[in-house]
Amino acid sequence: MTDIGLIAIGAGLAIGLAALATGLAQAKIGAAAIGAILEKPESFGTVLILLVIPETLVIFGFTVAVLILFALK
Amino acid sequence: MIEPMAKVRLISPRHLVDGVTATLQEIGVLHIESTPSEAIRIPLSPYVMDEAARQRRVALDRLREELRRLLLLLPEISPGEWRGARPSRPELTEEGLARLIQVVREVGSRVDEASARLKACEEELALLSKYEKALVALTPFLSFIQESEELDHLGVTLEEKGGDRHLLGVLHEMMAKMTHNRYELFHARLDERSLVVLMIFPKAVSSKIRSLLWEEGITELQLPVSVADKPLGQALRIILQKKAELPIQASRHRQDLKDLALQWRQVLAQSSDAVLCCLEQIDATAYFYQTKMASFIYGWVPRRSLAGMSGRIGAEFGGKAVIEECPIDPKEWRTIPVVLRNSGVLRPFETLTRLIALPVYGSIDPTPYLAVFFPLFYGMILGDVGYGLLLLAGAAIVRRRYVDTPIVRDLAAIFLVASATTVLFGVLYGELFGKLGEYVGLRPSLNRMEAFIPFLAVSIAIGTLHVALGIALGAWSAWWRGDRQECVAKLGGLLLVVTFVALIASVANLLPRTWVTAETAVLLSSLTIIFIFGGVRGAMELHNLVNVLSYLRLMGIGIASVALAFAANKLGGMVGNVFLAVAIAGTLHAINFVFGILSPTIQSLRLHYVEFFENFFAPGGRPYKPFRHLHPAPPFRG
Repeated sequence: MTDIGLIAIGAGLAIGLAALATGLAQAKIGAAAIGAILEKPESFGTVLILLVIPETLVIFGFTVAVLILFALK
Repeated sequence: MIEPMAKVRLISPRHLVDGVTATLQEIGVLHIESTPSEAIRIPLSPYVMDEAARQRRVALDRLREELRRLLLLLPEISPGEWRGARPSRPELTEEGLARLIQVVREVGSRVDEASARLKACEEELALLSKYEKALVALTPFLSFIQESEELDHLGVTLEEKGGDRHLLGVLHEMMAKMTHNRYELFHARLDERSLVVLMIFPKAVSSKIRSLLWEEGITELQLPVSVADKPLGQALRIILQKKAELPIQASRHRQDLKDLALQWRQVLAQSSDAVLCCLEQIDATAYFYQTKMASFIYGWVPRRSLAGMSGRIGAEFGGKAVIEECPIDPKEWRTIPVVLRNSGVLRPFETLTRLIALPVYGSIDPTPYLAVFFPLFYGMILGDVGYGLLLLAGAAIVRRRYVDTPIVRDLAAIFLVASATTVLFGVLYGELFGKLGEYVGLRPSLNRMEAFIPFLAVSIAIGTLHVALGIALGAWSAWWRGDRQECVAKLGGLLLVVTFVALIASVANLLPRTWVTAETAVLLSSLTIIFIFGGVRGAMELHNLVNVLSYLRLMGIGIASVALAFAANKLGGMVGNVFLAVAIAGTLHAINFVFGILSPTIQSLRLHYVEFFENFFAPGGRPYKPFRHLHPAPPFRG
C-alpha cells in the first residue's frame, strides 16, 4: 500500500472513530434529554449544552484528519 | 445590561390597604417581596383580612367560577358580529358586586336553559344515529306495516356467526310451522354479518312466536326508550319524524345561545376581568404586614421607575402613603429580581440569554457579547451569499408575519443580523450556493476548501479572543464582588491561554521561533499564579485550553457545509438533463440550507453557553414579576 493510501486511512480512522464515539454519547444524552425536556420544558437550554458537548470529539477528529492529510502529504 | 433595582417599603394607614393595593396593581412596577429579610430579622405581624374582606373574597371566587362557566357555554363571537357599544368594566363596590351577582344569575339561568335544550336535542340525535342502519334497512318495508286487529309485526336482528348463513331459513321454517304459512318475512342486510328482519304474522300466535324467538336466542330489535312501548311501525315512523325535526330544533337552540352571546358575552368577559383583577388585589394583601395603625409591604422596583411610582402614590393618597428606599442586605443579592435592559438591535438577543438562564443580579449580562459574536460565528460557519440571502428573505417574512409573537419576532431579528454576516462571509469565501460564485464573478479571499491551515489558525485565533474575553469578564466580575484572589487567578488564566496559543503559533512558525523561551517562562509563571491564588479551583482554568480548541468547529462545520453545497452542484452537473440537474441540485441545496440554519445556530450557541459563559456567567437570576393585572380582557372588537 502506498504512503498516500495509509495517510488517507489514518485520516478516515481519525474522523470515523471520533464520529462513532460522538454518536454513542449523543444517543444516550439525547434519550435522557427528551425525557428531561418533557418533564421540565424550561431545561431546554441546559439540555442543549449537554447534548452538544460530545460534538467536540468529532471536531477534534476532523482537525486531526485535516492535519494528517495536509501535514503528512 | 441588568437594570439597577431599588428595595422599597410602602407604608400606609391600615384602612388604606385596599386602595394602595389597587394603585400598586395599576402602576404595575412593584415586584412584591414575599419574604423580606426584615421579616426574618424582626418578627412582623402579617396583615390579617377582616371578616367582610374574607366574605367578599369568597363571593368573588364563586362569581369568577360562574363567569368562567358561562363564557365556556356561550359561543365565541367573530369580530364582525358584534354590533353593540363597548360595555364598561363594572365597578366592584359592595352595591356593584351585588348587582353583578344578580345579573350573572339571571343571564346564567337563560344560558343554562338554552344550553340544556340544545344538549337534549344533540343527545337524542346521537342516540337515534345508533339506529340509523336498522332504520335505513327497514324504511322500504314501512308501507307493509299496517295497524290491524288481526295482524302483529316484529323486527329482529340476525347475527350470522361463524359463516352460518341458514338462520333466515330456520326462521322461515319456524314461522311456517307456527302460523301454517300465514306470515310474511322481509329482510335487509345491516352489514356483512347481520340482517334485520321484519316479520308479519297473526296476532293469535304473537306470544308463542316471541317466546320461541327468546328460546332460540334471536334478539328483537331494540328501540329507544322513548318509543319502546310503541308498535314497531309506529315507533319507526316517530323516529324518522324526530330525525327530521331534531336538527332544526338544535339549530334554533344554537341560535338562541348565539343571540345570548351577542348580547352578553362581552359584558361577561369584562366582568370576569374585573373580578379577576379584584381577586389579585385581595391575594396581594397577604404580603402586607401590619402594626396597630399602619400597614406596610416590601418589594423591588427598577430604579428608573422609583420616582414615578413614588410620585403617583403621593398624588393618590396625599402623603398618607409613603414609599421609602431600604438598604439591601448583602445576603439578599441573589434574590434581587433581574430585568435585562438592552436597547435597539441588542434587545432580541436577550432571548438567547434567557434560553439558558437569567444571570443573577450584580453579575454580567452576556447579551451584548452574544449580539456581537453569535452573528459572527454564524456567518463564519454558513458563509454563503445564496444561503444568506435566502435566510434574509425568510427572516424578514417571519418577522413581519409574527409581529405580535415576541419570541418568534426576536428570533427572526437575530437571524436577520446572522443572514447579513452570512452574506459578508460568503463574499469573503467567494461562495454562492457553493462554487456557483465563480460564474457571477465572486473571487474568494479565503478559499475554505483549500486553505485549511490558515482557516484553522483563524478559528483558533477567534477562539482565543473569545475565551480570553470571557476570562477577562470573569476577572472583572470577581473584582466587583470583592474576591481579589479569584480575580488574580483569572488573570493568570488569561495569561495562560494567550501564551499557550502564542507558544503553539511559534512552534508552528506562525510567530517567531525565538519567542519560544520567553513564552514558556510566561506560561510557567501563569500556572504558578493560578495555583497560588486559585488553589484547587484554579485547575479549572486549565480547561480553557481545551475550550480554545473547541472553536475549531468554526472551521469544521463550515467546511462540512460547503462540501455539501459543492456535492449538490457536482451531482446536479453529472446529469445530462438540465431540468433534472436543477431539481437534484435544488433538493440537495434545500437540505443543506435546512442544516445550514440549524447547525450553525446550535454550534454558535454552544460556543457561547459552554466555552464563553463558563468563565463569568452566574446563572439563577430571579425573574422580575411586577404586581400587575395578569389577565387582561380579550381585545374588544366592536
